[in-house]
Amino acid sequence: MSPEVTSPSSTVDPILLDIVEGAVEATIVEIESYVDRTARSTVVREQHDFRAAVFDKETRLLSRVSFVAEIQVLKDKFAGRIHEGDVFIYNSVYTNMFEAPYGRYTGIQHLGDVCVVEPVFYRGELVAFVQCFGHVQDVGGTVVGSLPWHTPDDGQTIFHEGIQIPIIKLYERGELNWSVLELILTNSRFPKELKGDIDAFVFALKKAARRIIELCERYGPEAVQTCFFALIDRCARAIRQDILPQIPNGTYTFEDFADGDGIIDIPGQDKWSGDEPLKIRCRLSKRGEKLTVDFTGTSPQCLGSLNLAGDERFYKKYFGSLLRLYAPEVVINEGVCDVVEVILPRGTFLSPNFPASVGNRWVPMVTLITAYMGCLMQATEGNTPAAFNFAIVAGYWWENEEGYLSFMREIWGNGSGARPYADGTDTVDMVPESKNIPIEFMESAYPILLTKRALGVDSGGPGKYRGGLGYFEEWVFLAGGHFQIGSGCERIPPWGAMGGKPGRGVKFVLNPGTDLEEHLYHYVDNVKVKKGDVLHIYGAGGGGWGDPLERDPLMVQRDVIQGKVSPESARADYGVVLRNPAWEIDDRGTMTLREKLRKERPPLRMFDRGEQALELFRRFNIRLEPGTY
Amino acid sequence: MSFRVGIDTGGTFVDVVAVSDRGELHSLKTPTTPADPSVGVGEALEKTLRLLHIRPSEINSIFHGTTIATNTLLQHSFGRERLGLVVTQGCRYILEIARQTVPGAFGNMVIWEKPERLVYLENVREIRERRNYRGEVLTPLDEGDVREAAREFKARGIQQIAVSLLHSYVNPAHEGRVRDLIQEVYPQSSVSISSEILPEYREYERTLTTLLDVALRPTMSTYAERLEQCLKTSGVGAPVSYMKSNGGVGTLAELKQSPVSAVLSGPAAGVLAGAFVAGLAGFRNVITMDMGGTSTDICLVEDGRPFITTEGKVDIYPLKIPMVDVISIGAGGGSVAWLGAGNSLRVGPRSAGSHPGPACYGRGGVEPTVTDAHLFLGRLPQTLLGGEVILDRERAATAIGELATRMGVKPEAAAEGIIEIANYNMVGGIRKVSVERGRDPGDYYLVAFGGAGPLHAGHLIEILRIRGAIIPPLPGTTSALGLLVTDLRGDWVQTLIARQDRIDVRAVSGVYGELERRAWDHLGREGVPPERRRVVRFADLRYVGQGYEVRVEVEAGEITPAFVQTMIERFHRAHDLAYGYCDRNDMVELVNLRVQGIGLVDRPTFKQLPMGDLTPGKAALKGSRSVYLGREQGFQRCPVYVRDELMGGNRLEGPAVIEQYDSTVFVPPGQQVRVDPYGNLILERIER
Repeated sequence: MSPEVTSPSSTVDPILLDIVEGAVEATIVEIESYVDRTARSTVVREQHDFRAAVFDKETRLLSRVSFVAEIQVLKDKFAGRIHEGDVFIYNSVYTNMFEAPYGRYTGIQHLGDVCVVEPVFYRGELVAFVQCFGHVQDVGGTVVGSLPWHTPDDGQTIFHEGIQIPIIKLYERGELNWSVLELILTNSRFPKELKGDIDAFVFALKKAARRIIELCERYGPEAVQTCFFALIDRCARAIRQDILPQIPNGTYTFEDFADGDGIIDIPGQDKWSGDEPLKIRCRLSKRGEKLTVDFTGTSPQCLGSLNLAGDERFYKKYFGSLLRLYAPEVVINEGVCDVVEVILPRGTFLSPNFPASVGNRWVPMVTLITAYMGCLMQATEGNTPAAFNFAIVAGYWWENEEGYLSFMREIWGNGSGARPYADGTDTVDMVPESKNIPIEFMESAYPILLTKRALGVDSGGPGKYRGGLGYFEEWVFLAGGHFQIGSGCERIPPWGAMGGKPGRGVKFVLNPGTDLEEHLYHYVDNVKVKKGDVLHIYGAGGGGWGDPLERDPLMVQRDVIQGKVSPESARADYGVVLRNPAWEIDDRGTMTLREKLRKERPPLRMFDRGEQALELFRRFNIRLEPGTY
Repeated sequence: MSFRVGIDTGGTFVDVVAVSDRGELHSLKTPTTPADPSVGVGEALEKTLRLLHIRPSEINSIFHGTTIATNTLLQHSFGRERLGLVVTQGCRYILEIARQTVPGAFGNMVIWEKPERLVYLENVREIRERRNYRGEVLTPLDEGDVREAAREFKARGIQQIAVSLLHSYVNPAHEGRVRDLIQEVYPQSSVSISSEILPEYREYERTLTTLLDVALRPTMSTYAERLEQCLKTSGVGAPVSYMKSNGGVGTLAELKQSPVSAVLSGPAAGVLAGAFVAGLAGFRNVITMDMGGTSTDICLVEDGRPFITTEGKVDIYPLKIPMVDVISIGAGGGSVAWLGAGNSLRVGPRSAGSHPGPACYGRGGVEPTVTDAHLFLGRLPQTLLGGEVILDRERAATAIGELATRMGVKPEAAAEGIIEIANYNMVGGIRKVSVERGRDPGDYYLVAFGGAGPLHAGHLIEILRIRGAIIPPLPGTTSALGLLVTDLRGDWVQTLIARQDRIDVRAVSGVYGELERRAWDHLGREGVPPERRRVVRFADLRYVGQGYEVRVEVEAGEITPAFVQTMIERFHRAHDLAYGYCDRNDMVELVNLRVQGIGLVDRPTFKQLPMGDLTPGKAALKGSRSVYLGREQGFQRCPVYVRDELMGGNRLEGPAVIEQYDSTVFVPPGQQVRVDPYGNLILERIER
């Protein structure tokens, strides 16, 4: 951190401050709209897995938290050698490994994210940095698409995941270093697409840098710089004054789990019973104007690809982005680091050591959120939404008719957790502005026939408010090739809250109902598929909130009519008796059944993780914090 | 004499502009009648006849802009319970799933609730049928399924039915048959099929557009009929055309047939007007800015033509039909200033509207608005609209003073801040329509109109470093003028996906031939004589792997390999212009072919102002008042001019205020105004 220049905000023109803040945010919007339109990778342009950021010249983040944004390492490495017209590129996660004792993290967390940074100069002086990184299609490694889950089966390292580009200059004083670009492109299975994506990032940043320069032209670089510092101050103040008072003082502990890493930890067992879940232990303390998050007790780094290479500064910003929910209009920037404290032992799967594998770090990223929500659930005595799981990632590759390797990637959202006041939302992706691939696009671009894209009946966790539903899809492969799928929460579904039940976990079945039927584990890398093979994808639903027996029978009836809840679940989970064929509510029958169910069931709990998960925890001797299961 | 009349129905007023065949321009306003907007149109027409002393037969054409379609969507008053949807088996949940998108920032998934879908899930029916992307039948249409669905719709009174089947953009036969079957079973139903409304791939967006079309149909048909009726009552026999979202006009018959084409009818008129006025003043490249009470509509005009998009949105609904690429910013005269977290100053998007209105209206509003800030700083007079609205400076001062105290600044700094923040909101919108399209706003003039636009033009010139602004003669009724200067316009599209090395010239030729034939016939049906029909081709292309296309105009004439070469080259150039780079070694892909049919309409001619001296005449100078000119200069006495007394060729330097019936112009220091022969004010920086 660079505290060398701080400026008391009283000397700052408050109106200019708002103008500068608006201009910084507009710059982000602008970069994103360019990248949306010009990028090639579907993960970038449809699933919106890319982020832009603006930093001050001291590398402090000014724009809305892009949680991975971090360029301190770049600045340290190139001190005195940053010139106008330079463009930096990197995707490496670990850097400076030749330094004792551990080296550092660059801030980029898996190799698929190619990051471009441009310094912004005004009249020869460095005034800011702009950054854009996005998830490209392929940077090499053992599996097409560069997101291997765990090949080989006994574990992997970052070396299986693709080329590592250290922080280097792609352009030096405006001149493209073609050798650097060629070296990078040569290590991708899809060099043309990668070039298209890198071009998209570089040119979007060039346009965006103009905005910062214009600010300096209009208000003078000193005034703009002063505003930059004050923006960070103001964020910290807003968190202290407007957000923290909403969280009750106290210490709350919750553990949530990533559903294993795909590596069998108990020899002789299959993956469903032998893959040990990974625990995030989150201890949240709120005392006055300080929020502390302590990860002591979190599982050690794993052999699979679920390690998340984050340092304290990253976790501060990551939690900061969640604080925004308490005051949506606050721009959360680097200022959050002054308010949030993070305790993070080294060598956990949230702080892995080189060369741990990190490709699928998004799984613990979701788990972090639900662990945090579990703490808040206790802090607010239930006034917090139930859990969810945000995505399923698939890859499919085949040889096209011209003999070239071709690739498709889809990312599905899932159902969100029920809220204390409303049902969860069906099929949504955590990444804002993410889109699925239209069936008509999919079928015209890839050898796939998508015969069903639907909501998964009964996937939402029952509750007074029901969890959002996940997808159900049916695919027919029209060309032989390979398939990969990965997701959290097959064995450990999103928990329900305040009497609500967990959502249904994911499930993937190849050739269902045939002799070749195969239930795929939720992390698989190189599944061979033939022309005509059928795949069923069951997405995850969100957890329910509140007692399902208190759900309005009319809402249960509507869910049944709409095909979101089966009549069987209406009866068994909600105690609602419906009469065929018009699904009329049997009032007397419902009352009697609800009374009966109420008597027979165990007392309601704040958290319901599901019997399947509890059984798994028992098998691995995992003890949970009392009152959280 | 004969008159062409433009009638623009807005949120509070019906604006009328009438132009005689001698080029005299008249304008007037009557109140909107929200219960039945056609009544307001009738009243406006009556008033026009009365005030201008003209006979109904002297009106030879009427052009109409309306926000009724937009409002029907915004207020969700289209009768959701009467809407039905027929889809291919496997797609029942198409609206629920949509594109799985959560708007806003990271973390919103936890709290965001999906708005109610356009059609209740109970009213979505799957039928057995399926084609692949080449249009080949995989599963034949099950007519029994269709009949059963139709019977069910009939039994439940679901009368407006959209049909959207997978890959129907390649082969519409199943959809056509489904419509016939539904209407056979249920003759009272009204059916829109997606292959007619929008034969483009991406099923969710196509389905939604089709649904909006059928949802708007009853409202728009009734409206069109009432409109015809009230014209008949007034004895006006002239044909009526309505403004379409694409910046052209169409007949009322087309409005009934394709109501979705009217969703941006209102804003489109403003854009066309801005483009036209600028053209008269000699400017071909402009950004139009129509600033009203609650919002500002912004659009880029290049070479006299407004930008058109097919990625528009109305409310929460993406709409893929061609529309003027107008962006609406929540910044208007009534936008409310408030303090957000950390005491940051925010302006809008909430507006005080006309009730309670800005604090200075004295109708119970206490929150400071943009209008209050202008009044407090001396830029607005004490009365508006010729005395109809009286402004109370004390109330404005109280509202602003309170805000200033909370911010710890002087009241005039707070007022200036409100205006600056509103300006920056508008700058954001102007950047969106220019910079995001690869255009530098510095190359454009601004056309500032709407009641509040001329107050902000001067500041925007400074912030954006643009060259100047054009302020039309009647800023408050400029939109209505736009209705009179528009051609008939229709759009036809067909998806034809092919990589550049696999483009089949015969297929391209066939599609263009068919689209051109449809355009030609349509213009014929609209009564355009052949010599006034124009047909223009466009193509949407992208680099293989991109998800968005870039549209280019392509040549007329025979489709040859050379034609394809030229088309590809135009794409590279357009990509370079828009995004700053292109790659001629990269593979390009054709996605859509488009044709626009234009029926040329005569432009009215406008009378010029009498020419005066360089210095405005004595009658033009009304007096002076104290106006705030920024932190350094503070309040200074500034001259106040009467716009109606200015003559062609007059010049005046800022600081100054120019007042007129429906608007006020503020000329900041360092800028000057000249009056052009058509009465436009050209506001520019003084280069020293």
